[in-house]
Amino acid sequence: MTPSAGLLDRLHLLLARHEALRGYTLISPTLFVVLAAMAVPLMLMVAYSFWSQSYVTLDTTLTLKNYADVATRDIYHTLFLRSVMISGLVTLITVLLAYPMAYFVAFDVKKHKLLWLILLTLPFWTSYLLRVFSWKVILGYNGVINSGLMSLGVIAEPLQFLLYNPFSVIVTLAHAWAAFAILPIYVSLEKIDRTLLEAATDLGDGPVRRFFRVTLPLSMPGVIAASLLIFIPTVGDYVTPTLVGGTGGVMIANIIQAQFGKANNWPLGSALAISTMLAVTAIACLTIWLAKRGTGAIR
Amino acid sequence: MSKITSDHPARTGLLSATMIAAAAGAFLTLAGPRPAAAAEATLFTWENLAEPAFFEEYEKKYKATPDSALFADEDEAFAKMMGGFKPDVMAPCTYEVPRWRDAGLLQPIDPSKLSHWNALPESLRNIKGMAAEGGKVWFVPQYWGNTSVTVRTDLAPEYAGKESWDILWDPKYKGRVAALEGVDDTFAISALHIGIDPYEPLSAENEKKVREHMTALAQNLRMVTSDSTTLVQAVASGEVVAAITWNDHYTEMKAEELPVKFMRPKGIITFVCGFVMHKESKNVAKAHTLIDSNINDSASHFLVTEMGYGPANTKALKSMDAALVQKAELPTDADAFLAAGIFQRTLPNKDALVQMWQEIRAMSGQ
Repeated sequence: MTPSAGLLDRLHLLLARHEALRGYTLISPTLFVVLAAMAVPLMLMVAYSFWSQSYVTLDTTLTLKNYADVATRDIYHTLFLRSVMISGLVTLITVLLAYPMAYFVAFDVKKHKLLWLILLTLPFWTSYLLRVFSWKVILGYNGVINSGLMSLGVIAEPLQFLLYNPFSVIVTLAHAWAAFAILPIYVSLEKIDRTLLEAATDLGDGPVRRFFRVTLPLSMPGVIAASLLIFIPTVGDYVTPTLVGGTGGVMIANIIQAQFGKANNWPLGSALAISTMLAVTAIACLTIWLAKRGTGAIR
Repeated sequence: MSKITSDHPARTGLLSATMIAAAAGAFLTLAGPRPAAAAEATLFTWENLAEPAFFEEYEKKYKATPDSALFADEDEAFAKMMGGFKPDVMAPCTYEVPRWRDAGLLQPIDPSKLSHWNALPESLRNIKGMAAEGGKVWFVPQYWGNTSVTVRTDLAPEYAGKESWDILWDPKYKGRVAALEGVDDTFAISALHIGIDPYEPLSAENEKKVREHMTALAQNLRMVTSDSTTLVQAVASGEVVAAITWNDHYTEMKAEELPVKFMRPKGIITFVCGFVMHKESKNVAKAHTLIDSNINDSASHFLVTEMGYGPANTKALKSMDAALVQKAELPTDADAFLAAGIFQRTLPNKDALVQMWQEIRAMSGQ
C-alpha cells in the first residue's frame, strides 16, 4: 500500500466518524465561494468605511468621519427615505399584482401547471438591462405611449411625466421583479391543505371570510418572502434609477455608486453602503415581526 | 433507491471528489491565470474616438489593430484605472492630467519618438505643466474644441440670433434642457455664466452663488448624461431644446440636418485633449506609434470633417480645403487662436465639486 493511499484511507475513516466534518466537506465548495466572494469583500468594506480619502491618497488611520457625514448630512437621509419609499411602493404594487396570479395558478389551473409557471417567468428570459431599456422605449418622449396617444389625437404634445421621475422607476422595478413575487406566493398557496378550506366552508364561512381567515394567513409566509425578496434588492438598485430616474428618481445606491466611481471616495461609499445595509436589515426584521403579529391577530 | 451509508464506496468516493474539487477551486482562484504580455497596445479613450481613421499608421506598421477600451468621461476613466485597469495609452484632456499624474498613473512620453510632433504649433507643444524631465512630456495634444450650449433654433427661435447660455436657466424651457454629467463642463459653464472664475478656489460666498445657480439649472433639467447617443437623440427628437455639448455632438446633429446652433459667447471654454501613457505600459514602443498614428494628417482631417474638432496638428489643418475648415466652424488662423490660449484648466478641489453636483441633482428632484 502506498503512503498516499494510506492517507486517503485515514481521511475516509475520519470522515466516517465525524458527521459534522462530513457536512462541512459537503458544503465546502459553496462555503469557499461565500467566504471568498462575500465575507472577505464585506470585511474589506467595513475596513474602508473607517478610513478616509484625500485627493488621490487613501489615509488608513481609523476615523468615524465617514459615519458622521452619513449621520449628519440631509442628502443621505432624503435619498434613503426616497429609496425606501420607492421600494416600498414597488413591493406593495408587485405583491398586490402577483397575488391574484399566484392564486389563479394554485387553485384554478388544473392542467399544465408547469406550463403556466414557465409562462409567468417569461419576462426573465430577457436580460434585466433590456427590460429597463424597453420601459425607456415605452415611456419615452417619442415612445410607444406618447406616439400612440398622439396618433389617436388624445394629446397634442408628448407627455413629459412618463419618464425620468420616481413614477417611471416604480413601474420599471415592479415589472422587472414580478416573477420574484409570484413564485414564493404560489408555493405557499399550493401547500395549503384543501381540507381546511372545505372545513371553513362547512362551518359557514363565505368565500371572502374564508379567504381572509384561512387562505391569506396560511399564505403569509410566501407574501413575506416575496416582499423581502423584492424590497431588499430594489432599495439598492442603481441601474434602473440611472436609466429611467432622471434627477427626481435618484436613489441611495446611485450616490453610493458615485462614491466608488466619479467622486472617488471609497471610504465614504463604504460607510454609506454599510449604513444602508444595516437600515434595510432593521426594516426587514421589523416587517417580519409585524407580519407575524398581524397574522396572529387574524387567526 | 438504494440507501447510501457512510461506509459505502460511492459515498466516500463522492466526498473525496468534492474535497479535491474544492481544493482545486481554491488553488485556481488564488493563483489565477497569468495574463500574457498584451500583443497590441490598448487605447483607453472617449467612446466616439476609437475610429479606424486614427489607427491607420499603427496598422501599417504592425499589421494589427490596437485594442481599445472606452469611457464616457474622465471621472469614470479615472475610477476604472484606480480600480486596477491598465491600458497603455489614455486620452484625457489637459485639465485632468495633473490628477492622473499625482495618482501615479502616468509615465512621460518621449516626443522624439513621434514623427508628427513638430507639426504641432509651439503653443501646444509647451502647454503649461505638461513638461517632464529630459525633454519628455506628460501629455501629447490631439485636438481642441469647445464646451458650449447647442440650441434647436426651430424650437427656441428667440435664441437663434444670440450668443448666450441663458436658455439653460430660462423658465420657459423648464424640463426641456440637458447637461453633461462631468463637473469640468457643467460646473464651469454654471460658474462662468454668473461671472465667477471656475479655475480659482471658490470663496464661501461664491460657492453659495454657484451652488444656487447649479440648483436652478438642475431644476430646469430634463436629463444629465455623459452618453453622446442619448444626448444627440434627445435633441434630435425635440425632447430637449438645448443641451450642454461638445463640438462633435453639434457636428453630428448638423450632419443629421437638424436646425441647431452652437453658442459661441465671449469666454467660451476651449479644451485641449490628447494622450498620456500608463506608468505600467509594457508596450512603450507600440504606445508611441499609437499616439503618432492619432496625430498624423489623415487622422487630423478626420477630426475636422467628422467631428468638428480642431486638430493639434495645425500643419495638417492648413493643408485642408478652406471650405471644409469653414464648415467645421473652426477659426481661420488656428495658430493665433491657440497662442491666445484660454484653455480649460484643472478645477481646484474637484472632488468636492463632484460631491456638490451629485447632491444638487439628488436634492432638486421631486
